[in-house]
Amino acid sequence: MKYNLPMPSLGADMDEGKLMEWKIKVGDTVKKNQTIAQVETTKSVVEIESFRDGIVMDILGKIGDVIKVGTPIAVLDTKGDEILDKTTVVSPAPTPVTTTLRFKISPAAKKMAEENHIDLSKISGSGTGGEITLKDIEEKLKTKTEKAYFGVNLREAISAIMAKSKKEIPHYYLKKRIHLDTLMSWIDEKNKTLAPTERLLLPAVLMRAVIISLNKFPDLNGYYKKEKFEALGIVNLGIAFAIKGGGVMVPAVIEADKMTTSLFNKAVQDLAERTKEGGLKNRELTEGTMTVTNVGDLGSDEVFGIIFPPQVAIVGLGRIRKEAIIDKGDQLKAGFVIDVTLSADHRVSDGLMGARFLSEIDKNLNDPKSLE
Amino acid sequence: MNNEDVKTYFRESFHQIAPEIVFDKINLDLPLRDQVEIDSLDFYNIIVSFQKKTGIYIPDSKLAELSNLSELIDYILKSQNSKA
Repeated sequence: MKYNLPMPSLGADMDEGKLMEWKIKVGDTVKKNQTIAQVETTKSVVEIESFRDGIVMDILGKIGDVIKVGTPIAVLDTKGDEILDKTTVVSPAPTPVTTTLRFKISPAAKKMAEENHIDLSKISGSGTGGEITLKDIEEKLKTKTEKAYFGVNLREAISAIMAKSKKEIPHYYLKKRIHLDTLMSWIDEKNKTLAPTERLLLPAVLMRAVIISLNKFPDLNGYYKKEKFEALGIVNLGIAFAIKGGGVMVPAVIEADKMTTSLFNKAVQDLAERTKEGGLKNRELTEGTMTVTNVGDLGSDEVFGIIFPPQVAIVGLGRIRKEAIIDKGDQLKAGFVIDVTLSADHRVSDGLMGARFLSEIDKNLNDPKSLE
Repeated sequence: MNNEDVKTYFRESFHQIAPEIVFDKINLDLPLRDQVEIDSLDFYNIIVSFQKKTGIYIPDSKLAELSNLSELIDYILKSQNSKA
């Protein structure tokens, strides 16, 4: 059976991708989830994976092509595989494959546009027959404030998805201040015994408490689509990473709930590294089921995140700091605290559930053995 | 180990983990993140690199309390002296 493998969407804010490298050639046998190509999006270079098993019959996309999401980039022969997967169902009818954006542009203007990552689709050419001239590019550069790779730039992409979220999702917000003296003592002792490279990262331990707590609150972990909530049986924890130079990316640790703290710790570091250096998988960018945003290292005490649709909740971690607290004996003392917040979708859950969820995180953070 | 030795190890660790940051241009008395773009993971990796080079373990509770590199270096020197 012939299967047109489409350019996948690597997030709700992506509508096209630039083909950087093929990892397969005609005649190769590919397995589902095998990396087949590298694609540059507005945010990063991402490794895309095959959606199914098959033999490569044709390579349609060319290196350097900017290709719309859903457009076939390769053709597989999936003999004996008659079951259509979701991707096949939602992929649009075959469209012309050569989707490289072509513009009437002078060579000098083209060179300058490429050097400065100018999006030509946003320029109206002032030359003969609408040709984009060097002057047009120079004018664009004067107004350009952010690096745009092509198509939509990162700031525009974030703006679109966050505006959609705030417009469509009725958020509610809760905050809980959690005492961390017990956790800090535990992690100090734990890390003292570990080799430097095995050392547990404090934010990873905090996230692990969120993951464990989600097990009891499935209504905070899933997707709201077509007026309906779908709870998911696994936790793919999205983590908001600030991008140097501006912007945010939210890749996910896949099946984070099946990992030990040690494994999750390594997975977070690996994910952070690949977010910076490139090499994220499409699953990691599209299948997050709930997100954590950590502003502690930015120096802010609290953050109320905006839900990343179609997810239904986001947890915010603030700065860990010492403050005056009253202990169980009514004595004032200095102790470590963190403000943990929840922004959740009121169409799916309510404040009572949200408050219980934050209390569960508190309970787990103050019982560090539960995190092992 | 003296103040300059600690700085040398940090200079090497910064160069290894975040080569875009010039250690000698950092004002050690000001919060690091107010001066350079560095995330918690890079900073954590610098601490791990420092530990690997020197064998000195800096607890997370101390890292959470200290507000600049001067305080961190002072802490390291004091903890070394107290062991001696």
